[in-house]
Amino acid sequence: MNFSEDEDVQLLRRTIAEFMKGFPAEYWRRHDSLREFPRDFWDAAARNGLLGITIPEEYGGAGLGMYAAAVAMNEVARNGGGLAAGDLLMRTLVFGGLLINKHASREAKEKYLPKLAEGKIICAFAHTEPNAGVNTFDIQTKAVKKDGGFVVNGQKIWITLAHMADLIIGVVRTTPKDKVQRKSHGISLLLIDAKQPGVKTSRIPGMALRALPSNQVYFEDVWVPEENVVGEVDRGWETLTVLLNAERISTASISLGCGEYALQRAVEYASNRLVFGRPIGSNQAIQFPLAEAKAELEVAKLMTLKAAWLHDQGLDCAVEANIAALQAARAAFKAADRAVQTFGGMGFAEENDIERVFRDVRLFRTAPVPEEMVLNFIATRALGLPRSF
Amino acid sequence: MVDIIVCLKQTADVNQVRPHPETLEPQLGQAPRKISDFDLNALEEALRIKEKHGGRVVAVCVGHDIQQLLIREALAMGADEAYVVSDPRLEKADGLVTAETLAALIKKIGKWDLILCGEASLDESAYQTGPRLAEIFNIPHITYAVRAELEDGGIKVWKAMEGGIHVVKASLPAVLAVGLEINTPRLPSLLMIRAASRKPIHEVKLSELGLSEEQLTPAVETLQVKALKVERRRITLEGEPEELAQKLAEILVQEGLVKK
Repeated sequence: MNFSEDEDVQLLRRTIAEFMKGFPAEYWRRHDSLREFPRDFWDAAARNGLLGITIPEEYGGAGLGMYAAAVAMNEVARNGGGLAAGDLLMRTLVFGGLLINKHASREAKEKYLPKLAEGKIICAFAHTEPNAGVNTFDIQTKAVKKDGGFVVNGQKIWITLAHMADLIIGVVRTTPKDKVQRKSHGISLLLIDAKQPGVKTSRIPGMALRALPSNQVYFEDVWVPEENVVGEVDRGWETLTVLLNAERISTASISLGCGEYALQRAVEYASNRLVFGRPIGSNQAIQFPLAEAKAELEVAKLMTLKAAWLHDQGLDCAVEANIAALQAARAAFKAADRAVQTFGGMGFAEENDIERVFRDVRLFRTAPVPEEMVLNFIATRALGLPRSF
Repeated sequence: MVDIIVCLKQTADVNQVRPHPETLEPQLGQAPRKISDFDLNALEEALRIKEKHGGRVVAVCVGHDIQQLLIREALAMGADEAYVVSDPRLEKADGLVTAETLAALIKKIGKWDLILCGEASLDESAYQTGPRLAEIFNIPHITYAVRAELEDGGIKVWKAMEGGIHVVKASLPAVLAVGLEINTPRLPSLLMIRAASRKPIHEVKLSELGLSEEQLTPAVETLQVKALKVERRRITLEGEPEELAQKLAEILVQEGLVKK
């Protein structure tokens, strides 16, 4: 085994830590409070090449893989950018870069990848639906073949940044469920131009990720040319599972970053806050939970990086990616919870940024997939237990 | 076209050095390493000159246990190549030993027009290296530079002086020691990081430099480094407001915090 990281990746870590000094806690607090897109961060990330990590050099990126992407998402989050900064990288590096580069047509790569690397395109991933929940096989958004392309109708829910997106990666049915032999057949992934009049969005103000609001999305006779199909028509499930594994690794990396940030802030506070004439951090009642949070974050990080490494080797990483997402989200939530407790009343004050992290880290225990479904997957796939549904 | 040598020093990141709780000595071993801030300003200025006038920028670094990653960082910022001397004998190097070693290394590199360095280092702040290098090479040196322009084959420099700016000019070759105000060092972009992996880092052995025992013996010995101990006095005053103000004023004067 070898745990040493490539020089490129070590430099990436150092550079991002420096880069994030330009975006201090006040910046993220303000954008969260105003529910405003962090445009300066986005533009600077593009200028510094952070949006092109997974995009090949020929399209203006750095041509690195999931491991480097995971490191970048983790570093922006742990250096104060939290969920918002991590999510912005995820949508470009994973939903955009990795997916399009691996599975889309040459025309689509030429059209989208350079613009993604330059930050000229914001993309959204439209998977979940009001009437399907986590059951992808029941999705009702349909795409009907017509004149060298598809016409899409349907609706999606909880689609982050859809209201600003230029490109929506949509999961649709191209063949109805009752006309396929296996229920996983008949699903396709489409690159949908989100600026068409038939794409309508409606915001859902929520608890977490306030700078990047979530949306309901309605597709009304939306046109998608044939070259914008990702992977094969009707066989989108195979492509989707690869993407979902990358998404699990991403959410794990971002969770860890948020947890590490909360823990670091809690340690600073515990070291400096004097009560009864000594730092509260000298009390084991404060110390031990923070030490536990550290231990749990470190263990989750090992699994996250292992999953990312497997992904880059082209090996199956489904179990590892799911375990990483589950454990990282839980460890981050615990770290943030202990940070609130360590800060006491001050943990509830917006100006200390702990309450924001606390709200944000809760997200990945429920979305993009609830931890119960991850446990189902681990139970059936890794342990071989019978399915409950 | 100007060829520029930039001197880089690896230091402990002093913002992350904590004093030992009992001895108050800085726990240097536990602090991460970085390139001294002033030297990054020197590198940035060299890169700006190169962008305007052409030429090449060569980074040089001498010291003990030098991390290749930090040198790679300088290459990612834009230096074309780097020369490194990493040797345990340089662990306690002072301004004299550092300048002698750097000079011997620079002589091996060949043609150059300008040496740029930070005016001081982040850890020791001795302000020695630039002037000493200039003395060894017997060329002009300008310190405390806050702005520099190449002009008529020489270099025009704005020096920060107490209460004003002193504008001076020197012929090349010369040594320029820059301060933090001169620029903001760039962050390497991801593409520059990728490109840096293909740039050469030349490792030179200390023994190859032909330095004498005298040149490698520090002139200054550091006897002790300790953090200042800060303690709260916890003085509580009681009484009426006028009386309290009087007492507080007396204490402030007594402690030398306010002059009468």
